[in-house]
Amino acid sequence: MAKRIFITGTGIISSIGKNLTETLDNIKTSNSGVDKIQYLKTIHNPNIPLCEVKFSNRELAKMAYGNTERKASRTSLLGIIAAQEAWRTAGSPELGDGRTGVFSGNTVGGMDLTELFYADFMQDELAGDIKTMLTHECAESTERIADSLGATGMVSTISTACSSSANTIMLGARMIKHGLLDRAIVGGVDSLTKFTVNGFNVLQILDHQYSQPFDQNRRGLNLGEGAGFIVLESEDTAKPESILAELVGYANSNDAYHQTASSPDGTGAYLAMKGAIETAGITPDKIDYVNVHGTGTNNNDLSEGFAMQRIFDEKIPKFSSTKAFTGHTLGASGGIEAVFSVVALQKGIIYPNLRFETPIEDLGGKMIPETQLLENQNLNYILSNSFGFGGNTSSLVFKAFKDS
Amino acid sequence: MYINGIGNISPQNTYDQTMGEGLVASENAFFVCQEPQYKQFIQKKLLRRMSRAVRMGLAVAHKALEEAKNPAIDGIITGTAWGCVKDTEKFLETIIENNEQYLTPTAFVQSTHNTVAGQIALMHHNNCYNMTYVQGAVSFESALIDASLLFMDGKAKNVLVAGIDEQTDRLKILLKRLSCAQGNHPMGEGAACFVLSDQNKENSYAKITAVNMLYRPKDKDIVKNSILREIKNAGLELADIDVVMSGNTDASLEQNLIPDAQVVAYKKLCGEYPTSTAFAMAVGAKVIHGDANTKIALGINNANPENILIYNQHQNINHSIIILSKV
Amino acid sequence: MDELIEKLKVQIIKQLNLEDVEPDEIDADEMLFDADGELGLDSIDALELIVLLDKEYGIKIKNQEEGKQIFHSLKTMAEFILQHQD
Repeated sequence: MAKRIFITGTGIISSIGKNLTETLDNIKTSNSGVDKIQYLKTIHNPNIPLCEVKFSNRELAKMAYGNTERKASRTSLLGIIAAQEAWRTAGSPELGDGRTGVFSGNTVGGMDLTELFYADFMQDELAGDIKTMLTHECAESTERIADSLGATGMVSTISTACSSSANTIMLGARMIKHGLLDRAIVGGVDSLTKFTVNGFNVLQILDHQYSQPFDQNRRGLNLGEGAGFIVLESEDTAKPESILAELVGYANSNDAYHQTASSPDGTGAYLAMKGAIETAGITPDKIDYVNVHGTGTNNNDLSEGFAMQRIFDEKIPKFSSTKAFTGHTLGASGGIEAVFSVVALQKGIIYPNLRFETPIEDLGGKMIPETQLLENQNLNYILSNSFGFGGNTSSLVFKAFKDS
Repeated sequence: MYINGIGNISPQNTYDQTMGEGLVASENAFFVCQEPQYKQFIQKKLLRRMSRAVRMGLAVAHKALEEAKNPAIDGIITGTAWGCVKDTEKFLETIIENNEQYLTPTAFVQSTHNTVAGQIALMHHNNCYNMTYVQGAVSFESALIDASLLFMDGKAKNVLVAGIDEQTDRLKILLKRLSCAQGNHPMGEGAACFVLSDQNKENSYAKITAVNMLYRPKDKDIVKNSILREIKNAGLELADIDVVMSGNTDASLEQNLIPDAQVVAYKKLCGEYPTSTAFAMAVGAKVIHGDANTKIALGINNANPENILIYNQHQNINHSIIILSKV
Repeated sequence: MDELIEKLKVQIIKQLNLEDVEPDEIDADEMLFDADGELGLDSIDALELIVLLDKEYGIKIKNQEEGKQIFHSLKTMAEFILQHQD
């Protein structure tokens, strides 16, 4: 028998806060995380703004391990901080029983340290601290997270570009649904690196100003970093008082159009949204809010907008891109936006799509995101989209948990 | 889950036949894959951008699909620990050499771990479920578990599952410095792909009766009990296991646990690499299907092995358990 | 001009890793980005060509739209380079 899946904990760190409280404070004051580069060493400073987590690695090590000297990749540190918060808010359930999964999404692993090592290594093949390379793989941060929690169940890492962490949520849900696990901590993490900044820059999809998702005059995306995790529990083990929301729908699809670009008609996005809504057993009109992928690139927003029009027809639900606050956090974005979705349902709020001015003409000029923080909303279902390179598209449907 | 098609690129001659007769030994502690001519099934204009990891991945997918008579595919799931190493290196090196200037996009877009799964979808115009696992030595196992969930979800009839890892010259240097590659313990690479199905067909090689993985088990008893549990869950007795294909230098745990089974070391054919269990599953399935050359290559004495346990572990952190059974 | 076109052919083959393509096989007037054409270049190749112009000729192209006209054929590329070189 398929089991219901509840969300019992949330953890988040991004450019707008090191925990949920700080994050929500910044959202209330429309304080976006995009700023001049402070931490990453790159020649693109100050031409490219980024959404950096506003702490040095030493400060993050203090938060994650209580020790500023602790050597770890920025990726692992961010992951541990958010995962710990998620676990704590879930009431720190029993862990070392093998029935808890740890699934994290990630794109470049410990590349922040690899970059430093490689500069030495290229000069001299024997130079550099070779131990650095042990933190290179994507799985490393997931294992550090699992170790920080003492987990010994299934531990796995997904790398499907920008949809990575949405896919971990889906994996956790399916494992629990079939009774293979009782609970899972799911989400993802990525830190900013020269590798990703230069990669997106050379693809000419970085906004050199503050990004404007879903705007006619959008210029590209702002890259960000951070981590977002949620705790999923089966209906058998979740304590009613810990339940924040329910995960009811999910789907994964592939656009199969181009290695990096989205298809003009948004086939993959359409299939993911359609699949997630169907898994939830509802019709599209039940969706109260869509947390769009909304990167702010010409290609994504147009393609996603078309796909939404196909799904919702004339009745587009309220929607916004929270990437105007956090930047595009790549492997972490699905996790961070899952936290946003859960909190929106819990608190009845809808986030503003900062800096939106003009609707996109090619979408009929009718797709206007929410631009103010909306409170006291009666929300039942939220759809969250995450799309990535390689055509990977995933959507999730969260449902409010109301005592009845 | 039934294995209805296999594509296997390895250091041995395993692509166009099940196992070449002359076995290849490692050179300077490294095994290198024998690759097919890619032009027969990948368009030239696509091929020019593809690293070996992507080429190998597409080639094994092609082969597995062909063997399974090209069924409609409902899922594409890959496992790779190292990912697209060559393109990652290329982009990283240009960043450093050119001080973040004059960079080109191709290496970057091909460097993401999901490139192989994405390219398979692209090539076969397939919008289906698409996933990439990057969990070190259990990346391939994660992919297998996901495939089994797709069948449980009732969402799939045929799923493509692959394990791929490529070596590069730079990676070899790094692995040597990490003391991973040594004379008696060579490093390797490979790509193996399977069409898994919920249906037993006349061309089915074997069925996968158990897959599981462990993370940092506290002691050996946990490992032993997990293996025993998987054997039981597969509907088997301990005595039913004919062969253990071990990926471990010290195979005493598995030998002591199943004293009547013959323990063979599969890495002597492919070397050590994170998704080596995909190679093990490919050759194991062929052994169960009765292929004599593969049996000889692995040194298996049993005339007709019916149940094979594949057990591999990496630094006692990630443990992998797979059981293959005769159809 | 012809000399520049010949030079460009070699540079493009190298930059785009066009295995098995000989310089003689590319016609100066041939559309580079025709999806059904011989070369069938795409948007990623366009970005590669932008880098090539920057690196080899010191010419910066700011957006891909502009690039589309310049990269129509080898001839248009060569003309653009001649116009913009100091």
